[in-house]
Amino acid sequence: MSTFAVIPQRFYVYTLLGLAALATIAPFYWEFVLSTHTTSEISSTPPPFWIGGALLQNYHTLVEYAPFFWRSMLNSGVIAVGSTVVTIFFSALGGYAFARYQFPLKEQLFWVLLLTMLIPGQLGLIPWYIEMTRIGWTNSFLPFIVPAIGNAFGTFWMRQYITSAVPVELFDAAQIDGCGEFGVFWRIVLPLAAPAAGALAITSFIGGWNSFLGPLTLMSDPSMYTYPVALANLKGVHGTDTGALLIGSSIATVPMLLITIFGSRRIIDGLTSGALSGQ
Amino acid sequence: MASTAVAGAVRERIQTRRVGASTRRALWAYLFISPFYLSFLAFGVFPIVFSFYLALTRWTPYQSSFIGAGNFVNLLQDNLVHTALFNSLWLMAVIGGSQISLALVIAIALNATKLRGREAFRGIFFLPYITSPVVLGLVWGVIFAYTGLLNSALSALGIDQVDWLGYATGSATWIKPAIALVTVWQFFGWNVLLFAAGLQAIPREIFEAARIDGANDWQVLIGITLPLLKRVSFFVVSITIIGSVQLFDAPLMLLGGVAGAGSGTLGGAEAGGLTLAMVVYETAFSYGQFGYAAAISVLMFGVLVLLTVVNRRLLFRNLED
Repeated sequence: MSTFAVIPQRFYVYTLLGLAALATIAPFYWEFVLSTHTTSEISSTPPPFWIGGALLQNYHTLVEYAPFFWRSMLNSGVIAVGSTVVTIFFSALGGYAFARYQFPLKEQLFWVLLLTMLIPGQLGLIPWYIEMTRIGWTNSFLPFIVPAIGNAFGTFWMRQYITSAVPVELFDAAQIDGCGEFGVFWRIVLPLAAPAAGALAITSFIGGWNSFLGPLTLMSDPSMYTYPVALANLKGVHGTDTGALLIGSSIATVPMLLITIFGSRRIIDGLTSGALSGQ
Repeated sequence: MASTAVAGAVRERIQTRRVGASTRRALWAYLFISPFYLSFLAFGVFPIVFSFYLALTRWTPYQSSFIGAGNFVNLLQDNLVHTALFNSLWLMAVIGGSQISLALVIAIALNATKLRGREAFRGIFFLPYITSPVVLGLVWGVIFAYTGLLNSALSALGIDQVDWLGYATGSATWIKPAIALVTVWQFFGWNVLLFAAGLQAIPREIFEAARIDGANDWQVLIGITLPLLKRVSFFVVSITIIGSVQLFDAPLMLLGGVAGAGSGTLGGAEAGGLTLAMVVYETAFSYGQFGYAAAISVLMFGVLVLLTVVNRRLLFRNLED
């Protein structure tokens, strides 16, 4: 208040946020605008600032050079949806057991689970690759879906939510009504845990949708590439055709843009509280 | 007498039934948590343990033999690894320092009372975080090109062209700053959102009380805001450390150099943009030296553990936290 007395503090706040927002949006704006220009237009000086007429031409180049581009988008979608469904189901199941059951070694098992959240993923890349090739899971979606069963953060997150938000009385009532142990989980817990599952689903979906390093190592068949692998490959082979690269990038950006526009508020709240709850 | 005996028998029956029920429930619980632990053993623990063994072997697609510490002896003499380690630490320091201070300032602004358009700002800051680093690397590669947007903007301001990616002059001077810029640009928004969530959790009354006691802006920031953001800060610093050491996609797309993805020499001119994660990948998948790649991963892991411990020590110096 006192230090910024000359100019209203409000002015600084909006200027700062405005500049940061502008800097954040600008590259996306160029991505979309430049994807409608030919490669020579893109590298001309000054570069184009508004939409051009080469959109279709770039698109045709893209699908000619990367015939599996749409297939790669589909592959990313399969991995995103598959890993999300598996994550939600098994995280809720494990989280429910930790939240509402008493069993020997419960504390110790939960500690192991918490410890596993500290292990960085890339440490295991090489042995993981060897393991997957030995199992025969190359050019397969399985390496990116099955391990989602063991999502430590997801299990922890669902346990926290079920402990605090699902009343114990409901379980007793459900059991009196004749639900089995799994029935209680499926019919009572899973629907009630939907808010926590939603945030988890978004994290998992984004991670699956953008998966790159794993598929880069395990997918040798171009029809099994995820879209980041397809784009990286396109850059490696036809790196000079900037227009085609940018239209591919733009198409791949659209889903994230839609998520941001239509669901950002709840997603951001869910994700930030999720990330910080692990502390 | 008879009635108490009956009551005792009933009580016993109930207790055995309870014991039976609790055992049955424990079994259900084990059934529910077993998929997690089985999957985690197979795909989480096994690769980690295996990587420490691999690091002690010469492991190629055709043969494998135990060589003890041989890989680590080679690590000490491997200039490429030293360059990558230096680059990764450089990037971590620059990215971490600029990203966190920038994010903190913007988070404080975003937390201003009666702010209009707060949700729009939050959405905008969120977008780069969820966008694929491969896509962003491609886009920024175009922006950084010698005749690209950034240099056009600079020359409009009367500043000479900068060879960001080292393609035009073969100089590595600007490669790391370029990678740092892209990475900060991608992740500062997420840090803003985390800090803003942390700020939200601080009751406004604390600030008001400090004001009434006559504290100025700086005193409030240093004395109240920052200490109360300690836990969030620890988390943000941790993910920055982990993210910087594992930096792979964006430099790869900016500079190329790994077989099958990108073009040019590994890590760009003078290996100026080579990160540890890129060396691991290249060593394994271009040269087939899986054992040596695992040894580099172990080095990476050691660096991560060391820095995380230091981070914890620095931020939680006082044990009362």
